[in-house]
This record gives sequence, structure tokens and C-alpha cells, in this order.
Amino acid sequence: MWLVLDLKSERPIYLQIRDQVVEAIASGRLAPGSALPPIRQLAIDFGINLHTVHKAYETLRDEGFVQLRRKVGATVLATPETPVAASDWPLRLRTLLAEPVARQIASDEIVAVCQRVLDEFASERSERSERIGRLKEG
Amino acid sequence: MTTVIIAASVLFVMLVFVWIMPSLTQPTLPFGVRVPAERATDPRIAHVRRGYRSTLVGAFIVCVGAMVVLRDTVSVIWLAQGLALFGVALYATAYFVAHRRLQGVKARENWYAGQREALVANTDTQSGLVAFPWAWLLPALLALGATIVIGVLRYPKLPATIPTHFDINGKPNGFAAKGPAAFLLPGMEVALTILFAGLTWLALRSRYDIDPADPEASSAQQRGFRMRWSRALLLFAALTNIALLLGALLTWQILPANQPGTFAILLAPEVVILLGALGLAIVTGQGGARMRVARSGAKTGLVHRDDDRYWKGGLIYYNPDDPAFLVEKRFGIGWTINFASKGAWVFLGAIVLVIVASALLPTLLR
Repeated sequence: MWLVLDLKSERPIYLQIRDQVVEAIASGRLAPGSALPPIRQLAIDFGINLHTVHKAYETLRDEGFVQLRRKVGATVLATPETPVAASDWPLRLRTLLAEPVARQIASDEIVAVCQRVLDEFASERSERSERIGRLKEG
Repeated sequence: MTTVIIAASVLFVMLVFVWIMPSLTQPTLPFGVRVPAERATDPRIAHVRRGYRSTLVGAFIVCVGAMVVLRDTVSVIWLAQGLALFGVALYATAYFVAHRRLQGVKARENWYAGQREALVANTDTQSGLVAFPWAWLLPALLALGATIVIGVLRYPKLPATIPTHFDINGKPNGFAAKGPAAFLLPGMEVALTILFAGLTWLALRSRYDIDPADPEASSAQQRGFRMRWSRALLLFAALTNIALLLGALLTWQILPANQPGTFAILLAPEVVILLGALGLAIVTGQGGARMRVARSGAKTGLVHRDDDRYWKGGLIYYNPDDPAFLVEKRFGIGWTINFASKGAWVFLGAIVLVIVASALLPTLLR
């Protein structure tokens, strides 16, 4: 899986890492129980400060997506915990949806876009599990 | 005249390497300056390269010409060495001039304006790393083993003092007690084998410098580069051990030192290493830049980040934020160190120690 950091983006690097890991979990690219690269390794691969990667992993832990343990490193949780701080996605969705609404885009059009994104995650996930199933049979 | 020929040959071999180097590096890193892919074919870069190459050839002709003309007027050894050093200084100057010129063009025209600079990493690199090619270490170990076996069998038959140094005609001109002296070359083989294997191991783990414009293609090049050079380095270790074994056979008086051709046999492994390295550098390029790999047609619209500020003169890497200590060179083949990392200084110190120790050992034993 490729992680891409856009250095011209307004979004801080540690949040870009966080976003892509969450997307990878949603699409099944990062299966429950799978390991994230060691902090040091990822920092070396990007050539960025260790603390930046550390901060990204801590954010993911605080949001209940991964477990951080000494020696083992970061692993994706089978069932994400939902701490209070991380359950505010409806709030953030509100801010996000305010944008197309303010641009006077029709509601059903917005819902269609939302549905498409959800379908993409779902189809990627089912494709992946099919492939794994075929590997197990073969 | 021999001195002049040797100095001129050294200067010539270096000329070949520095002349060809701009064609071996990544197209987006001409003369150690990072440029966006769309500028890699800018005519100014080709112009600077032509200027660089004619300067090199000019420097070579002037230095060798001076050696030939002045060879009878002054001490020929000082003349040859001095002019060889001067030639190397001119080569370096040609590089820095080219580097500065391209930096100037890039800064004046703001080549990175509007480019989307990015960093990419593959989270699966750990599983996709090139494995250490243990089988390729075997020739080096065999040469080392042969040295030790021959040494053990020969040692009791050696006289109390053995020759340790020979002049150019193969006449011994340095002797030492066999106690320490007979172990010198096998010891060096052990040290160099460990050094070569260690460097290969580190190089295989060094960062894949991925071009975000086509991550898959650039990662395939990086893999191929490491695959080839790791094997080559271990073969070079074997050749070095063979050269040291031949040297040991001389000091153990198994190989006659004064025969014509002995000198050539001793030199052969080094020549093979030199030609092998040059050939591999040409077909592979730095970081696999010259390897053909499948290109994905998809445009990511991203460019490699402009990291010139971390590269002093395009040669010395200093980046305190980067935890890596071994990184690929920009202008040259292979790896260099991040001078801002502590590990790098430990590493450098260890290498200097090995070199100084192996240079001093013969003197200490005398």
C-alpha cells in the first residue's frame, strides 16, 4: 500500500498519514490485526522526523483504530473502539456537507456522491475478501 | 616514464568515471540539482553537460601534457603526483561549476512553482525488501578459507623472517618476523569480508528513494539496483580476497615474486573489479536509473520534493529530521551518509579505523 504525503497541502503531514490509514482500513487494504510499518521505518522511508510519524500513530490510537504496543508496534484493531473524542464524525460530516449545500448543490446529488464513496469502500472490501478466499481454496 | 604512465592512467580512469556520470544519475537529478520531471529535458541541462565534459577532457589533456613535457626538468614522482592531484581538483571544479549553473537557472526561473511536491512510501517495503544474497558470499568465504588452509600448512615451513614488501621488479625490500607477519594478509581478508558483507547488508536496507510520479516503476528500479549491486559487492569481496591470497602466496614464498607477469597477476583482480563496477554502473545507473521497467501510464501529477537544501553542493547530505543514515548519492554510484545523524558518524569512524589500522599494521609489525 502506498502512502502519499502532499507537501503543498494545508493538512499537516501527521493527519495525512492518519487519513490514509483510516481509508485503508475502510477499504480493507489494512485488515484487522495487520501491522503498520514500525515508526522508525516509515520515518526513514519518507525521510521525515520520527515525531511526525509517532504523532500520526498516537492519533490513530486515540481514535481507537490501532493498538500501540512496545516491540509489537501498531496493529489494526479488529473492532475499532469508539472513544468519545473520535465519535464526532457526524459533526465533521456536517461541516463537510455544509460546503456543497452552500454551493446550492441538490440534496439527492450530494447523497449520490456519498453513496458512491461508500460503494467504493464496500466493493474494494468484497473484492479483497474474494481474492483471499480464492487463495485459500487454491 | 613509468611514473608518468601510471599517473596518466589513474587520471584517465577517473576521467572515464566522471565523464560518464551525468548519464548514469537520475534524469531529475542533473549534477546533484533536483529538477521537476518536465524540466529534465531542458536544453540548458544538456548545454551545461557539454561544457562539463569538454572541461574534463581539457583538464586531462593539460595535466598529462604537462607531465610528458616536464618529465625531465623536475622530480618526476612529485610532478606526476602533483599534476594528478591538480587534475582531480579540476574535475571537481568542473562539477561544482555545472552544479552552480543549474542551481542558478532553477532558482531564477522558479522551476518548482506550481508543482505538487510529495513524498511516497510503501507500507509493505519490509516484506518486499531484497534479501541478503547469502549464496553470493560463498566465493569470498572460499577464497578466505583457502588462504587460511594454505597458511596453516605453510606456516611451519616458513623461515623466521619473511618478506613483507616488494619493489616494482619483485625484489623483496621489507622483512618481518613470521610470527605476526604471516597472519597480516589473512587478517585483512577477514576484516574486508566483514566490511563488504556489512556494507551490503546496510545498503539493502537503505531507503528506496521513490519518485511519486510513478512509484511502481521507480520502486522496481530501486529493487533491481539493490539486487545487482548486493551481488556485485560480494563478488568484489571475493576478488579482493583473491588479490590478498596472491599477496600472501608471495610473502609465504609459494609464488615467485621476481617472475615477469607476477605483477600483472596481482593486479588482475583489481582490474576486474574496476571494469565490473564500471560496466554495472553503465547498465544499471544510479538507483537503477538506466534499467528498463514497466511504466504505468497513469499520471499522478506529483513530483519528488525539492530537497536541495539538505544537499551541500549536491554531494553532502545533512538532514537532522531524517532518521536514515545511509542514503543514495545524487551524483555518483552507490550510497552516502546523512552527516546529521549520530549513527553516520559512528559508521564513518569505524570505516576510518579499519582503513587506518590496515595501513598502519605493516609498519607496526616491522
